[in-house]
Amino acid sequence: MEHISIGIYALIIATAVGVSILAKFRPQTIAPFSNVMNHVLSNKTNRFALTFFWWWIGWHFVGSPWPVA
Amino acid sequence: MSYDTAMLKIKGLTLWPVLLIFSAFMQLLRDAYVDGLIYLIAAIVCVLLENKAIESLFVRLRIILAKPFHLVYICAFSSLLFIDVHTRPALFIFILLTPALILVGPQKYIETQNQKAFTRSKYILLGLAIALGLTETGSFLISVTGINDRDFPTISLILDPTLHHDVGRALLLIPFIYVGYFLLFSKEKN
Repeated sequence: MEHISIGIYALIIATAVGVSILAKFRPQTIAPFSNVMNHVLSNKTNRFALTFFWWWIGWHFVGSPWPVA
Repeated sequence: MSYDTAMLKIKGLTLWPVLLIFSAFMQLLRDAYVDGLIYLIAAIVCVLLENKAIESLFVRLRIILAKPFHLVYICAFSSLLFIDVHTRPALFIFILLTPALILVGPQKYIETQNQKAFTRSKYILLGLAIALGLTETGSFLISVTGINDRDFPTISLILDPTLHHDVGRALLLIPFIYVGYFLLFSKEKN
């Protein structure tokens, strides 16, 4: 069962990478990730919420005692 | 109502507080009360940010503080690699820094060049984010019901071995800081 779960995560990441590559070569079909994010981040609530999630990920994953025992 | 605001709203209700309150509930389920509280505070800040009355209070602060504030924030986060922060108390400062940063940060509405491509890209990214969120939430809910959590690992569980090695930790910190740099220093903003 573990492999199925990890496989789903891998599929999501692979799709994201594939879409990014496609957007790089065909920007008229799919807008590049940075364009979408720049547009979304121009609204302050979006910017706060996304920065908050980024902050929390750092706090959750990296904010453990250093060096790790 | 601008297009970018409209796409995250349903009948005037922004979706961020709903998502943040749901996340707070998830944190409480795993007995992470501090995390839950932080999520609730973030939800309240999102509601306040939609209130136009407080907007004018921060206009002057933005001009004066935006750039120095960004630099302080990036330096503070980078220090996580080198110092033993003994975590929670020291990192609480970021709870104050993050909303303040957003409030003083410059704002600029960005026009979309190709509306069709933009919409297509937006829905693909949104779909991926929802798929990731559902997988993570499903794995988490299964793990708290007492079933072997190794069968349905959350992202935390998968990344744990990497985070327990110095090199792995440093490698994960690099993309993290890069994403933060993009969020805070995005070129398209003034």
